[in-house]
Amino acid sequence: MMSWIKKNQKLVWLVAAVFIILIFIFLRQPIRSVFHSISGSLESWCWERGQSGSNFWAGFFNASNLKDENQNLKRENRALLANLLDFQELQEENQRLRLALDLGLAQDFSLKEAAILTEDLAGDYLVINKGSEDGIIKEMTVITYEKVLVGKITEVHRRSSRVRLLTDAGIKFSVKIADTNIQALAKGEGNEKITLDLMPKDVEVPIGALVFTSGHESGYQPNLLVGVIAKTSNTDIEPFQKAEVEDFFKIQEATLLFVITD
Amino acid sequence: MQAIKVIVSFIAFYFLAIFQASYLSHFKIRGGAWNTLLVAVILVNFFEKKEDKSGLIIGALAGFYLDLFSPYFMGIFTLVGVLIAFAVKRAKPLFDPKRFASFAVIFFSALLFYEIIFMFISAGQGLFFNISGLIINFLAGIIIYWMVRLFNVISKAKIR
Repeated sequence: MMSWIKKNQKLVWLVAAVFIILIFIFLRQPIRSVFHSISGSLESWCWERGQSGSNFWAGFFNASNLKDENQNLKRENRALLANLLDFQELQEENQRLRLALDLGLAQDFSLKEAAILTEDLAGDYLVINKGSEDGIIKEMTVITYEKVLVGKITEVHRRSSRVRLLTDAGIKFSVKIADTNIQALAKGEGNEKITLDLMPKDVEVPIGALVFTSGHESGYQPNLLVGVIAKTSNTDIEPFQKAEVEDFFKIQEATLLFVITD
Repeated sequence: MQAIKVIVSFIAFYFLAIFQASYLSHFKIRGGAWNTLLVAVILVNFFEKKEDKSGLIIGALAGFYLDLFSPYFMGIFTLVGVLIAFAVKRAKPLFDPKRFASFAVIFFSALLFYEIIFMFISAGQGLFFNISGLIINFLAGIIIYWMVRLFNVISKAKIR
C-alpha cells in the first residue's frame, strides 16, 4: 500500500486536492458553523477585551486633544442644559404617547438580541452569536437599540450568522433626508464609509441632517437611522449632487445588536 | 518533527485566528490590520529548511483559518496560503537568506502578492487595494524578523 502511494504520489495529491475542494464546496456552512459554535465564547471574550483595549489606546493617542475637547464639551453642556428642560417635557409627553399607543422598539419589530463575535479584517462584515437555532434567516435586517441600521444577514450557521454592514462596498439602498423631500441612493464604499448619490443638483442638502431608510423598496424597514450628512459635493461635471454620510453605527462602540425577525 | 510542527501550527493558528478576527480587528488603521496568520506563513516558510515541506501544509492551515472568518468562497484563502508558501520557498534560493535585504524583498513581494489576489477576490464589491494593511504587515514582519535574529544571537552566546 505504502509503496503504491509512493509510486503514485502525484495521483494521491490530486485525489486529496479534489476531495478537499469537494469538502469546501458542500460542507462550507457546517464547517464554519461548528467552528463558531466551539469558539463562540472565546471570540466573544476577545471581542470585549479588544473593545476596551482600543478605547484605552484611542484615549492615549488623543491625549493632546483632550483639553480642547473638554472645553468644547463644557460649552456644549451649558447649551444643552438650556434645552434639557424642553426635552424633558417632550420626553414625558412622548412616553405618555408611547404607553398609550403601546409602541416600543420591541413593539415596532419582532427582535432577537445578538452580540458581536468577530469582525472581518478586510471587508465590512461582522459575525454575531445568533443563528438558525434562534430563528435567524438570510436577508434579515440588523439594527441597534437606537434603531440605527447596521446591515443585513448574509450567511446563517447553527449558532452564528454573518452580517454584511451597510458600509460594505457594493451595498446600495434608497434613503431620505430628514426635514426635506430629498430622496437619494446610499452606497457603501467600504472601510466604514457611505455616500449619497442621485440627488438633484438644484436642492440644498443641509449638513448635519439625519438620513433614514426610505421604505421597504430600499430592502430595509422604513425610518431606520443611517447617519448624518457630513459633506456635500455639487460640481458641474457631475450629473447629480453627492454627499458623504457619517455612519451612526460604530463597530468599536457597539455592544448589543438586534435582528429584526419579522 | 514535521508532524509535530504541523500539529503545533494547527493549534496555535486556531488561537491566532480568533485573536486576529475578534481582538486585532479593533485596531484597524485606515482599513488595514495586522494579519498574523499571513505574516506567520511567510516567516515559517522563509526560515524553514529547503528540504522541509511542512511549510506548505502550514500555509494551507493558515489559509483554512482565514477562510473560516472570511465571507468569500471557502477554500480561496487555503489556496492563497499554499501559493504564498510555495512562492516563498521558490524565491528563497534566488537570494542570500542571511541578508536582511533578501528577507525584506521576499516578505514584501509575498504581501504584495496577497493584497493583489485579495483585490481580485473582492473585486465584485469594487477594486480596493489595502495599502495600509500591506504597510502594517510589513512592519510587523520586520519586527518579528529582528526579534528572531536577536533571540538566535542570545541563545548562541549562552551555548558558548
